[in-house]
Amino acid sequence: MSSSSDNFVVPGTELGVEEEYISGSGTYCDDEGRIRASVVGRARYDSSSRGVSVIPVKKLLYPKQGSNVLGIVTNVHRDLVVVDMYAEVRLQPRFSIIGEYESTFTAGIPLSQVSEDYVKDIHDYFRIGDVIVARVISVGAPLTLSTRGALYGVLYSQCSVCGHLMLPVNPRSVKCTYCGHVEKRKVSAIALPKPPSVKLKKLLLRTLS
Amino acid sequence: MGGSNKSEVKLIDESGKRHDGRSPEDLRPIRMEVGVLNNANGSALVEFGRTRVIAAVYGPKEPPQKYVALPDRAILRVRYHMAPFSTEDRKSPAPSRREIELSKVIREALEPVVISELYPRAAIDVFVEVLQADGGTRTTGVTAASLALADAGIPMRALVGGVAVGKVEGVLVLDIDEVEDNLGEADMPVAAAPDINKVTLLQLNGVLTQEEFERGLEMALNAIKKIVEMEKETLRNKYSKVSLEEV
Repeated sequence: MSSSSDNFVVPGTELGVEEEYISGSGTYCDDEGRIRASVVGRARYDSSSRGVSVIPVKKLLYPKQGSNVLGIVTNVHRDLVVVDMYAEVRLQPRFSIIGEYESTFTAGIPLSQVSEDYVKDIHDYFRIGDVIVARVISVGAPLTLSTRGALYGVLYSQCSVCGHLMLPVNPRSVKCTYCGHVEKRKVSAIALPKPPSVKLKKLLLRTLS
Repeated sequence: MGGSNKSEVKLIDESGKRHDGRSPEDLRPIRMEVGVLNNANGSALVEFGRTRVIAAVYGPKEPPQKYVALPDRAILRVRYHMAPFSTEDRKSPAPSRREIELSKVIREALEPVVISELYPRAAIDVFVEVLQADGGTRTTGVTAASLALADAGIPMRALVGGVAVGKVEGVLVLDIDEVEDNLGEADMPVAAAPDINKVTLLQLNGVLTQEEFERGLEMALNAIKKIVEMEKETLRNKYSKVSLEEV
């Protein structure tokens, strides 16, 4: 029952009591004041902060406040952009995918969070089918994203004339790679001069090349 | 059904051994494996003798029907299902009354240990598929589901395990199989989380005296301790060598 030398723990393994440690991530405190592991992993005791946490063997990815996400616009209302979130990403120093969500999560970008500028028409910022990066600002109901800031915005778009792939050409517009049609968008700074490649298990099934 | 039908099968012989050679307090040989399915977030296969159950876990995720979500925690959705080939006569794959009830019973056996408050408005799906049935499928199912949840990385207060105690020819026996269940006088499935001292499932079909009940529950809880230790060993064998990336 007690934790062994290699600190390997499973849900329920006793890690200490409330009086000696602060219960950190991957742990919980039971009714009797005992701190126990809640996931499979390795226990980590931090003597300087008197904390104990468990580093999980399998990291469960779930939307959390402040994380940057990759999503696809599924609907645009007059005052709201609806987004399906696919993955958690890192934007700096380089774009990289931290992990793919096991299932997509639906989130909204309210008009006020679309841009730091005055937004006259939301369609000049996002349209259906856009692959975007955004930041989670609230995990309450509904899940809320923000694209305020130069880093956030469109990576890829779909041409409203011919349906082909559109690539960003400047911070406010995208251009069709096939017919040359230009549309207004809020483009992410990381998409210029060239958007990063986005290879996701779940996105491969979709139309984007 | 019911009554000790001694003329057909002898459930307890002169030396006190059961029809399969076990003594009353013996478990069947148990085998556990985690991470058996590639496409599920977590999975486990558990065998109690000839009973074989596979469990798969998905989530936490956005529930397909938003109205079923709860504002303060995740919902657990459990499907207990017996494969058509799991029984002697083909079982219709459509969910039966019994399967719907067992789904609920298994869900309620898991709900006290899953820390669902961490994922409000989410859904956690647990699929319990009986591949081969030889008695004790619900308790084997709870055991498999517990392992699969741990394998999926879903926060839990403790691991749960389950086992059934029965009475055959007046003797309390542990981990009854199909024959003992059909011909015996009582069947009492129990699931518990020994680490936190909680019984999460307790049913009784048949009649036990108070003394028999108390003795039976003690037998079951002792066996569950062993079963949960095996679950821990299984997880350790699978994951103790995994190198961890720092967060």
